[in-house]
Amino acid sequence: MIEVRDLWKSFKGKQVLKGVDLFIKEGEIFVVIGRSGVGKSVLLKNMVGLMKPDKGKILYKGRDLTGASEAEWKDVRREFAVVFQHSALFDSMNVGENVAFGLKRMTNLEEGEIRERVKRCLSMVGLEGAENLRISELSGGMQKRVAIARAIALNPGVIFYDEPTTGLDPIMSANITNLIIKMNREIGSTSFIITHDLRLAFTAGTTIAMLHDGKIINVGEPDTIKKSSNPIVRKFVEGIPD
Amino acid sequence: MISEFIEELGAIFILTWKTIVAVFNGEGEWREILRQMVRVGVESVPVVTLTTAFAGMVLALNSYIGFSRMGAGDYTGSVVGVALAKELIPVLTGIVIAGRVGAAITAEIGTMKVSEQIDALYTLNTDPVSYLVLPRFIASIFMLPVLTLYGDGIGNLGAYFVAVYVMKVNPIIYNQYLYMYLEPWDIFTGLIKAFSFGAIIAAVGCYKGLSTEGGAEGVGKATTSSVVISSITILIADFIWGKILPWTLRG
Repeated sequence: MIEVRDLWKSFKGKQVLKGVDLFIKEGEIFVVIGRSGVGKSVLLKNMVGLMKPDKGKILYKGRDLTGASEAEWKDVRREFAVVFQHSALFDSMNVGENVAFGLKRMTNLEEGEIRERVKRCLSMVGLEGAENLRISELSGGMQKRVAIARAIALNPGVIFYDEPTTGLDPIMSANITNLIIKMNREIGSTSFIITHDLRLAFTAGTTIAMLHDGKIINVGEPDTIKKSSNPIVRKFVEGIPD
Repeated sequence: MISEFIEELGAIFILTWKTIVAVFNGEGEWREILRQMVRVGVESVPVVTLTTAFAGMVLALNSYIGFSRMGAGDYTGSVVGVALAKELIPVLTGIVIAGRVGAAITAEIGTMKVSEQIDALYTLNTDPVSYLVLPRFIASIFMLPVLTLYGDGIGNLGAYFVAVYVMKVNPIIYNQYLYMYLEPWDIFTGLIKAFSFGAIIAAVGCYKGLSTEGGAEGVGKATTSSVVISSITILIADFIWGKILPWTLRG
């Protein structure tokens, strides 16, 4: 469904991605793990068109997105949704307006239909009746759930999650993990997650890839990664200090 | 340093151009434009009132002292009226709005940038230029002249109060010279300047917000820089207008 071929990206002379190759199948939960600062967010931002790669290709359903115009990206983004690391909710709006934002701008739905869709999405993430709450009134976990509701509102083909459990307590982290699995099953979207939360990766992931020094050094099912003989993967999975 | 400044100036011009194109493409939402007009215009009335009233009062006080030494104290109204309308009110209003509104624009957009809300807008197929910049730009270029016109009135009232009630200038003579020497062009010149100052405040404020990097520190730096650049650019633009608008040199 999504293919990343030999992707390179640098910033001010510092090479962050050094030829990343990935293949994400339809309907799976693909997780990229790796230490902080290895370029996981850069990889995600290249995949959703927020950054342009220096070299390499990104293909979605066989369509080459590398060098795609803004109009082409607008077309593709109707099928993409992103849940950002710090939720990125619009704090000048309430919860309902946040979830309705994309529906108002990317669909021709009537006001009543939008209200219904917002209600349904909030109910799916366990936030029934939260439409009128201000963003500042929400806890970190609630904000993540609103961000997920905003993402699923448009029935996307792919949901990209950037560190979805960062900053959450272990219970809320487990709740978000379960929610990601639930969304994947109920909506049938493909999920792409970048994280260093191993519990999330091994619980939710159907395929896990490890990014290290700008390259994917290991890809496989969770068990394969757990039993990997690669010393860098072992060190990360077992949490061995430097 | 100079190359960075030129690069930044170029980027501000590009953003302004994109905004103008978006205006002509009919982008932007009326509700948001009106909301920004209230923020820039209505909410700035108290600070503009205070600034322009005291500017008029101080100018009248010092003009009277200077002129009375030459026995021309009765001419205070004419000089104060022209100076306020052409220079002081537009520039002071511009600088005050740069501090109040320009800073708020940069802080708001800058916070959105560092908290990935701008990225979220892109992923929701929303162009930040038409969604964020355009309403602020239109609100600033239309509300600055309105505030300036209001400031002209308040400034002249302040000047009249000091000249007539404090310095004891004859009110009939004061008004006679004011209306004799203050031309509509003087007021119009000030309004043209205010229109351009509005564009400067919005363009610099939005550009600085959209180019903010880092966290809270980055937002703070961007906000400071926005106010400094806007204020200096307003003063430079005022001088340029003084040169290129031939009627500003009249009288």
